[in-house]
Amino acid sequence: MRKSGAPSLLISLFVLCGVLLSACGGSTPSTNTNGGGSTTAPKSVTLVTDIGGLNDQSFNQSANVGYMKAQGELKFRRQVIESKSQNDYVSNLTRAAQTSDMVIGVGFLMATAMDQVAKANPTKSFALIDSCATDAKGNCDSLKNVAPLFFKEQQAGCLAGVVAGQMEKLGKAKSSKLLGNNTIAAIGGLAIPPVDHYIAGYQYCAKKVDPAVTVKVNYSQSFDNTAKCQDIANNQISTAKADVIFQVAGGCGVGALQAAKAKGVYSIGVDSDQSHVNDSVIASAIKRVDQAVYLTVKDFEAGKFSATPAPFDLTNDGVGLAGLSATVPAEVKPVVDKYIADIKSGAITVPDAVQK
Amino acid sequence: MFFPILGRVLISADFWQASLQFAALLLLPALGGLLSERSGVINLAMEGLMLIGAYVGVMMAIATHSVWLGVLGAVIAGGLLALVHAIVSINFMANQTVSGIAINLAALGLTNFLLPIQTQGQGIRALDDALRLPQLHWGPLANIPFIGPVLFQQNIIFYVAIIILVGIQFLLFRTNIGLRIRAVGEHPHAADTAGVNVRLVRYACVVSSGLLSGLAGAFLSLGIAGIFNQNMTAGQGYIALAAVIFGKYTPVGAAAACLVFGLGEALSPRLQDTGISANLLGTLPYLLTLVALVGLVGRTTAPAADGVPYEPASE
Amino acid sequence: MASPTVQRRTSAPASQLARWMQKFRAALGRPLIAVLVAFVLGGIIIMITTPGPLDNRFITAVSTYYYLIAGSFGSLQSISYTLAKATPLIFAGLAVAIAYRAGLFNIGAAGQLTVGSMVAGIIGIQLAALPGWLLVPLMLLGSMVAGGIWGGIVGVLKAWRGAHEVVTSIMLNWTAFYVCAFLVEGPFQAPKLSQQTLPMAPQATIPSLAILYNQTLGTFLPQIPDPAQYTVDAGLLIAFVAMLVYWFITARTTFGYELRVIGQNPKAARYAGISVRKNIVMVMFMAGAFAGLAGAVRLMGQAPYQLISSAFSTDSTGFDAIGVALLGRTTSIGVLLASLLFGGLQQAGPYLQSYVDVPGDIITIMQALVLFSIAIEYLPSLQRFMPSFLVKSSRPPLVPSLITTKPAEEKGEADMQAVESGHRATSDTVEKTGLKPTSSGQEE
Repeated sequence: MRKSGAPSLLISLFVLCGVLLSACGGSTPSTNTNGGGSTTAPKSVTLVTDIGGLNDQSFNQSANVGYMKAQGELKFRRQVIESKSQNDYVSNLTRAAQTSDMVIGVGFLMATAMDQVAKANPTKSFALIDSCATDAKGNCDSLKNVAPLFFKEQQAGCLAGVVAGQMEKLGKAKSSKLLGNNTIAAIGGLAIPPVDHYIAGYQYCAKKVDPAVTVKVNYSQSFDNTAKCQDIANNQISTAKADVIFQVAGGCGVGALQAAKAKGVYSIGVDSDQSHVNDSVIASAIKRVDQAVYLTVKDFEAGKFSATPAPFDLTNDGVGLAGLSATVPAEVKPVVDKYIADIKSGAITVPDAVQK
Repeated sequence: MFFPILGRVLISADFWQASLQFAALLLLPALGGLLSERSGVINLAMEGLMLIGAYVGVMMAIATHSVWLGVLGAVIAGGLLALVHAIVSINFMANQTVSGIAINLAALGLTNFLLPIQTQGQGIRALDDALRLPQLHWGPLANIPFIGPVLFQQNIIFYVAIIILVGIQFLLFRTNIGLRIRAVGEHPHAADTAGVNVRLVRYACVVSSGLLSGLAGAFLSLGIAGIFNQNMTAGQGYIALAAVIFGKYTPVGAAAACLVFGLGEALSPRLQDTGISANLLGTLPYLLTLVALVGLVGRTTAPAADGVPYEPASE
Repeated sequence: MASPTVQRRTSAPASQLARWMQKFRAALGRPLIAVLVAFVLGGIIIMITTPGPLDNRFITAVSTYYYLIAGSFGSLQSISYTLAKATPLIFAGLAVAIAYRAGLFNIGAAGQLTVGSMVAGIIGIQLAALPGWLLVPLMLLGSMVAGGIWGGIVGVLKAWRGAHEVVTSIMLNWTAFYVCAFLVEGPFQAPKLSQQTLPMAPQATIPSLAILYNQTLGTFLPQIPDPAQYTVDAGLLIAFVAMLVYWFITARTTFGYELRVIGQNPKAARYAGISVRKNIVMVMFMAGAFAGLAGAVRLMGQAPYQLISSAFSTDSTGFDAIGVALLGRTTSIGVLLASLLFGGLQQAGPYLQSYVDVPGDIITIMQALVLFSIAIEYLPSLQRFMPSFLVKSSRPPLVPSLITTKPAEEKGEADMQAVESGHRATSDTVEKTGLKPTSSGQEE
């Protein structure tokens, strides 16, 4: 974002005139890299995003990063279709299937649509992030041409919970900004599986580390309304005296990180390393959607498509904890490492259902 | 279970602080819309004007490394887009409803269209604190229990909004200019005869609505959110429009309407602890407004010449 | 302010052909120019934002239009997709249009559509055991009643409490989004899934048009090969019926006439003994019923035949419908054509990024430009800037409103009014649209 200099300034002004729009070049979109006359044309892959757009700072963007990385290496024709409404899923997926060999759908809401399109296009391969294709009864349909890409978000959530719980346990002596009420909080966007997995792991492991801790959970009903998450976080901090806020609400949750900064407490980011937002962010529970997309596309191009890929978890770096800040007491890191080892070895199984 | 929680929410400073902040965000475009309607130009465009303000504000702040230039850009952006509405409504005598809807669509389209182009597909990351509008802290006043956080720890634009509210109330009902604006909105021909430049007044009012909505956009993106998201106004411009009508086309009335809505908006997430579905709680600000409108306000009357393009009586 | 009455004029002595031409010009001429101007402006925007030398930019702009047309009407399949997108727009467009006839701005189509689809879905899920011939009409009827009630509330509040329809509809929209999201995520949630219902049972759906054809006419006419690839459903036929109903109501019934009178001047309507209140409630109920059908037909006609809670507030059909109705000048044919335009743009838009590297959101800008153009009405505007002696005799009415000229146009008398009389429309005769409450103009 800091790249754009004077041209952006010009552009910003000219936005308004409608005609004089963003003149003077400056920032220009990258051009399509097409196959470019290679001898064996790679099989084409299309990415169909969920609503929210490619710049959503969340899973669509992450999926696109993985897709672009694979596209850069393997040089297939780039085709990304952005869904504008949930009503577009079927037509977008169908179009994608007709014009390419593999289709990657982003988001569990496409589950039913994916099922119908995959059945109608049995010769094409599909991958779906966060869900399996589901039939008319809502059950997983084990189609041979659909790869469900599941993540064990609860493991990443658990590590976030370990950090928060351990800090509470160590108390104010080690972390000066704690409010002393032994309460931590999480803000979910919506009570949907990927979000609840994170929160469930957070709850479970925080309480495992520090049984006395209270975990307050709220939902913002939004993934993009920043003001809402900020407001909820403010409320959690001032009313419940929560001092570590874990945001699981995408762009909305950025507001929670900002509230934590303004109120002088700690926060934990989600999906990608969010330590750049501000210095209240002590760690981020990450989910490598980009890595999943990249690996899936690469496998597909190498002829190794699998309809039953292993879920992405700590063992294959599909989820994890990133950006542990220096403000976190030194005693926390060993505990986190111990939990990582225990989860990998199977000594700890993290539940994926939120305790009410 | 419900009432104790409600009670606790209602006496918490944090709830009132949030309510006032939401209300102030709506108040700015509402005042803008009010000026425009008062002068006789229907304005449905606040949604789009806010959105363009939010976008340009962030882009300018990033490009110039100055939040104040960002705000300036947002205000100018809103003003320029409103100027389009003014030109087509006043000079081309266009249908003002259609034009307003078109402005909203245009703002949505432009911001979505330019965002990937200007950011090379990276989107905008959350802004640094230095690029955000500051929360003010009025020294000892801010430390008064309850009143301090509610009234003296708000964002700077909150206070600007209050000043503008007082200013416009005064302007409309206590000054010669206000008299002219109202005359132009009610009886443009009579006003013209009396020597008022009808079109000029309307231009000024419509552009002002853009300036104020643009400022609200900056408040949203640079103040509250610290980021720009696609379609981040999410219907708030329409709520502001509702506040104008609800408030019977008076600044104080509109402010009251914004406050009702802000209370609902702040209340809804805070009642989640009662176990009521968050979705049902989400209807709270809307139902509250609806009940208040139907029960307390009832009939509202627009300025007589609202929506009527003005044409000089003879050639 | 004086109280004008609805102008009913005897037709001009003109030949059949001339009348037809006039009718055509009135109905299509200005919208067509508006669309052309908008497309030229859209092309300029693309050229400005595209990298490379000027000729490159020009090629990008031209190919954008090529792909827009190819993507929306370029093949039978594309056409079927476009029609599938246009179908709900037609219903919703009619919902906005009929209210506009009565001078009401129905910004609430989105909410009416939402409750319509929700109630159709509830019926489809709860009564899935019923046979299709009973279930489908029941769902459609349910959606009409539900949407109608949602719209009717606005009408009742307007008629008896004077609450402005714009305010109440906006509030009811969001109420509908949230309440229906609650229902989808609560009682009607699919087991093991979140935020969505199960798909409707097959007998609760509307068949695709191609499959329907193969099963009926196709039994003795040539079959359509591979019918599954043509997604447009038989809901389009229902939309045609709705258009017919709309035309009949507005052009051939007393109610339709009364609507126009109310739309033009509620005061005059009251003097004429028309029950304004009753008509406002009725027209809002009808508007809601049209919008409700839009929701039901999309749920039942388009895969995956399920309701998704977050789709209610992100779906733009209810708001696009405003543009459709205004661009279509509130006539049924106009709404159809405008729906095809908007549906086509929305169908082709998402693919632009891949083909020409232009963000698909350019189509939103184009929709906005079309609306600007239709609002401005270039021809009368240009004429206004001409020296007055040139245009004195052939001056069209300086009425920006879409409604005022409407009744005349339908009888093929489009610009006759002005041509005959050289009558100058003052603000008195100008219809007040949009935000104007019925009780206006008492300040004299």
